[in-house]
Amino acid sequence: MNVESKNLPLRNIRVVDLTRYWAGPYATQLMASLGAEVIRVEATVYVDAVRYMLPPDGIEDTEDPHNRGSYFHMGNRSKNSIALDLQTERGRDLLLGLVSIADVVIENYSARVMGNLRLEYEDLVKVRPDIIMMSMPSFGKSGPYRDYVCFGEALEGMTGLSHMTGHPDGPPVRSSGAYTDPGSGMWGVYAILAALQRRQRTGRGSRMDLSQQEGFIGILSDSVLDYTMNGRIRKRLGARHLSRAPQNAYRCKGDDEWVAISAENDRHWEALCTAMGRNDLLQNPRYRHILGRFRLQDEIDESINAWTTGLGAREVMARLQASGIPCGIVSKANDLFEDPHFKERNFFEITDHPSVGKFPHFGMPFKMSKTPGGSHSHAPLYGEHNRRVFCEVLGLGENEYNRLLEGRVSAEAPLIGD
Amino acid sequence: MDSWLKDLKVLDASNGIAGSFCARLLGRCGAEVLKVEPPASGDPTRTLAPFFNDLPHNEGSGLFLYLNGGKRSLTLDPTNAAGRRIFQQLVADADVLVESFPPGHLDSLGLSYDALSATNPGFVQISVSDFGQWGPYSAYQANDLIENAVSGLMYPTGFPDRQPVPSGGYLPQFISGMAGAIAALAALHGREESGVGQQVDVAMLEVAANYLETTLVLYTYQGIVRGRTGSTLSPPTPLCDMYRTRDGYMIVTSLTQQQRQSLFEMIGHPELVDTFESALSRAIPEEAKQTLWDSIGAWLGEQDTEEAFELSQLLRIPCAKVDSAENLFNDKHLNERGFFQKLDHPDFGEISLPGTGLTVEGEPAPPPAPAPTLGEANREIYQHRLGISDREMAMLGSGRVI
Repeated sequence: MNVESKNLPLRNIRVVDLTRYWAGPYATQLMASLGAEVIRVEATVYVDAVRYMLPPDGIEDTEDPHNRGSYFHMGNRSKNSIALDLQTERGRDLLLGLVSIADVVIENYSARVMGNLRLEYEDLVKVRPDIIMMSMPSFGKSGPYRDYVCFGEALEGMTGLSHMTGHPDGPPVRSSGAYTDPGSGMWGVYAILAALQRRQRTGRGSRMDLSQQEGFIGILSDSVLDYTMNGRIRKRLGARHLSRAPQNAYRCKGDDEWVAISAENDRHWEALCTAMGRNDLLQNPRYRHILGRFRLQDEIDESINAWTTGLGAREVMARLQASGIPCGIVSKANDLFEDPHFKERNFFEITDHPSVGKFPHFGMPFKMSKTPGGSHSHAPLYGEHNRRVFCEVLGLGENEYNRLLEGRVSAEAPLIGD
Repeated sequence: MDSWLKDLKVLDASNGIAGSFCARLLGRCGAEVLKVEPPASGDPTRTLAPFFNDLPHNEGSGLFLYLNGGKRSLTLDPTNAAGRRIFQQLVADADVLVESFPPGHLDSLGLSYDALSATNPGFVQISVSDFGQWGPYSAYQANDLIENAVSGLMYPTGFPDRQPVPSGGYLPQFISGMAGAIAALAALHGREESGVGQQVDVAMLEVAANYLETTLVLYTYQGIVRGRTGSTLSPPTPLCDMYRTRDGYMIVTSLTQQQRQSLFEMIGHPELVDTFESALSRAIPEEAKQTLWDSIGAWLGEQDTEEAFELSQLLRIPCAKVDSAENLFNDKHLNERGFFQKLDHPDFGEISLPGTGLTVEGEPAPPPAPAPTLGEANREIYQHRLGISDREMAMLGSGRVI
C-alpha cells in the first residue's frame, strides 16, 4: 500500500487497457503494480459486468452500484478509468489519440470485436508504429473455435484442468476460481514485457495474441505429455499423488477442518510415524517400501486420520513441520487473514475505496528487493480519470470535455442504452 | 520471439518445476540458458513422470524435456570451495540467476545476492521457494499439495461431503515459473534506466494466492467463507455448473439475459426465462434452482458432448467441453492451429509437445528443442569459456565438484 510509483520498473510505460472481467484486468493490474500507467477505457453503456458483482451490501439502494462490486475492486487497483464510446467516430479518434502516446494496447474481447471497431493492429500502427498490441481471446485468433464465447469458469474444462481434478471414483470437478484467467493474465504480461525488450533492442513493436485455452494447457503439461508419450489418460487422484504415499487431506478437530500431509520418501514416512507415536506402523514390513505404502494407502490413511482428528490443523502442521515433513493447513478464506506467515510478509494489500471503504486484497505474486511494487490506489470509480486523461493528457478544453458528455461519447456514470 | 533476448545470459541453478519453467520462458525468447545441476544425479525433475515408453530414465522424462528444452547443462556442486569459485565465475558473466535453493542456503555459502552482485551491479536474481525467503514458514517443507492447501485454493475445491482436493497438475509450480519470468523481465526493464539489478523473492504460496479469484472478496465483503460445492459456482455467476452428457461432461455458464434466454430455448424450456429473470436480483429460491438444474441436466444427458458444444456456441452460449488429454490431442481446433509441436528426439524418437498459445505476427513459433543431457556442456563452458584445463577438469570430476 501507498507504493510510490515513480521508482517502479515499468514507470515509463503507458498501457491502454480495453480488457474486461478477470483475465485482462489481472494482467494490467500486475503491470500497474509494477509502475505502469494503466488507462482503462470503459464502455458508456454496456459496462464491465464485474463492476456490479459482489458488492459489500445489496445494490438496490445505492447511488453508484457500478462502483461497488468487489470483483472489480480486486482486479483493477492502481488503474485510471475513462469512459469512452468506441463505436462513435469521436470516441475512436480519442482512443487513437491515446494509442499514439502509449506503449501497449491490451484487449480480451472475443476475436472479432476489435475488427468491428476498426481498431485492429493495422489501425493502431498508423498512429503509433512501435505499439505493442496484445489480444487475449479465449481460443486464439484462428481455428474453428476462434469466434466462440467462453468465460474462465467454463474454459478450464477445455484445458484438461477439470478432467484432472476430483476423486478417482467421482466426476471431474471445476476449480474454486477461474484459474485460466490469472493464468492468461500472466502469459500476457510475460509476452508484453518480452516485447518491450524487443522494442528496446530493435525499435520494433509487436502484434501478439494469446489463446487462453492453449496457454493453460501449456502449464498442465505433465498429463498431456503422458498421453502424447504413452497414450495414457490419467485418472483423477483426489488429493493423492502418482508416486508419493501417503499423501492426502486429513480431517482435524473442528468443523470441516483439514490438514494436508505428503510423505514423499522414506525419511518423511519414518518421521511421520515417529511424530504420530506409531512405532507399529514404522515396524510394519508391508509399509517399509514406498511401493507398499502406495498400494496400502487406504489403510495408512485411516491410521493418519485417527491421529489428526483429535488435533487442530495448525497443531498438526507445526508438529510435522518440526520433523521436516511437508504439511500444511487447508486454509479457509478467514484463515488466510489470520495466517502468521501471510501477516508477517504483509501479503495482503488494503485499499481505501471511496464508495465502500477499506478492504484487503491479494498482493503481489513476487517481492522485488529494490522496487517492491503493489497497489498505489483503489480501483477507480467509473470515469474517475476522465478529466485527467481527456484534458491533461489529450489536451481537450473544458467545453470540449462537456461536449463529449453531451454527445454521449463519454460519461461520468454508465448510460442507459437507447 | 526466439531472438528477442538473444544477448541475455541466464544461469538456471534451480531444481524442480518452477525455476526450470521460469528459465525456460526466458530461453524461449532467445536468452542463453545454462542449467547448473547437481553432479551425478542432476535436477530431481529428471525423475518425474511421464517417461518415454514408461521407462524411468535420467534422460527420458517428458516433463524435464518440456521444462528444459533448448538449455545447456553443466554439473556443479557449489557447496565446496572449488565449486563456489566456479559458481561465482558463471554468475559474473550472467544477467539473470534463477535459483531454488532452500532460503538462506546461498547466503550460508557466501553467495548472497550482495556478494554475487558486487562485481555485476545489473545482476538479477530470481529466488523461487515454497514460502518465500523469510517469514515464519520459510524453512517449512512443501510441494504442490501443500501450496494448494495453505494458499486457500484447495479448501473450496471438491464436494461438501468429502475431503478437499487440489486442482490437477503442478499448478503452483508452473504459475510460479511464469511469475518468476515476469519478475525477471520487469527487473531487466527497470535496470535499463537505473543500471542496477535486484533480487526477487518468488514464494509459490503467494503466487497461488493470486489465483483465489472471488474466494477472498466473498469473505471480506460479504462474510461468506466459500465452501465446497462440487462444480456448482456459488456467486457471482448466476448460472454455472457441470453436467453429464451421453458421452462425457460439459460446463454450462451464462452471464447475460440474452445468453440465458438462448440456453433455455436450446434445452426446450423457454418458460424458465421468466422464473429466472424475475428472481435474479434476489436469491433464487432453491426449488426454482432445482428445476433449472434438472431441466438442463435432462436435456444434456441426451446429447453428445461435441454436438451440444457446437450447438451452444452457435447460439452464443458460453459453454465448454470437459476434455481429457486425449480429447485435447485430437481436438480439431488445436490441431488446425498447430498447437502440438513435434520434436524428433535423438534418443527416444518422436514426441508431441504442447505450445504456449502465444502468436507473434510475422514470427513462427519457436521450434521445440530437446533438453540437454546431464553435463553435456561441461567441456565447452568450463574449458572454453572459463579456461579450466583438462587436468583441472579431471580433478573437479573426481572430487565430484562437477
